Amino acid sequence: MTYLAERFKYGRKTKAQIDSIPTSNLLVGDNVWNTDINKEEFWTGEVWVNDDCVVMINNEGASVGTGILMEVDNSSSTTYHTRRADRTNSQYYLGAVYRGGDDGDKIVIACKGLYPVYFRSTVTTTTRGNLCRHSSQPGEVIDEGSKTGGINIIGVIAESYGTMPGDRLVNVFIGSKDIY
Amino acid sequence: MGFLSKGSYAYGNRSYTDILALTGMSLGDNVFDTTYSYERIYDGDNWVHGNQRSFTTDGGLLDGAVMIASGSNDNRIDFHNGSADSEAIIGIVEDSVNGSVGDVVPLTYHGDVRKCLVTAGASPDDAATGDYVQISTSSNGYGDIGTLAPDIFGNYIDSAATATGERRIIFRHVERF
Repeated sequence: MTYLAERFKYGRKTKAQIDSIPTSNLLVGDNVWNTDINKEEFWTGEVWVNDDCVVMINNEGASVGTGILMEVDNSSSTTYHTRRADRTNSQYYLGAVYRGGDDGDKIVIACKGLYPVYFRSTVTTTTRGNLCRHSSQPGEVIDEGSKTGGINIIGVIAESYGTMPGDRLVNVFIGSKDIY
Repeated sequence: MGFLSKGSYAYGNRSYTDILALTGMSLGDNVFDTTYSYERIYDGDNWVHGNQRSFTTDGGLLDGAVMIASGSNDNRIDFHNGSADSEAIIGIVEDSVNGSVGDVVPLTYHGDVRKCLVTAGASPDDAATGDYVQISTSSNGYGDIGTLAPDIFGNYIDSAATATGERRIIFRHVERF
């Protein structure tokens, strides 16, 4: 049967290794096994993407990084634009950035699955199993502090931290946003 | 040099039953599931489709069980345990061939779930197509018939139980208040 090297052109790599592959070497359709998320990813010609994600154009006016919540930019007259999510615009919510970029770049947003999400600077600890809430700070989340909650819940926290990691990214089981 | 046996699939087209019987797979091998019309990829532990991912379970296994994030270990899953977890459902165990705590099982976290365990009895077994499915407050890891209220995690899409206590649902992670 097939060998790993034949099945995936770039074999098995972490996200950091994948993102370090020189883009000048890549061809549309090239694939790789992402060991961070255990999913196959494909090179679109511009970004690496998997089937949990959508590709949109960053219209925030600034760069956006991994874990930031994003929404459809309904103020833009151009399709496929996205911006940092404001929790008052729940009907436009998309998910969390998996691969970010500068203003105008194509970025990759995870809409479902287990992915890192950016926790607000006021959060000092997280508890696995607690709900994750879209905070009043656009694009950022907080630990709800319980397994019951309400509007603006975007998923379930998967990791406990007694001290937050330096990058403030914590894995969350991302689901549809509770907008009711 | 590896060869593809048919089209772009390492194992070609096979029934779901035949896929589960395969041995000697390598990470990344793929197959077309002709029973359920999925591409499945072998992730090193299980044959998963695009709305699935494998996780280690801290609950003993029930295929079709309704799951939450584990409270014991990071990035693992466990059975829901009643109303306290009413808004923490993350998916349904499906297509699992293992059966013990610590096993790595496939979790369907979006879309069509062929078999969701529901509390045995006339009520959920007879729930109509489109009715809400919510957690069971009497049986850990099971669903029940629901009303428009918190605890909803999907809709029934079949008209009757396929077997006692099994229903097909669409899983979605939105609750109603």
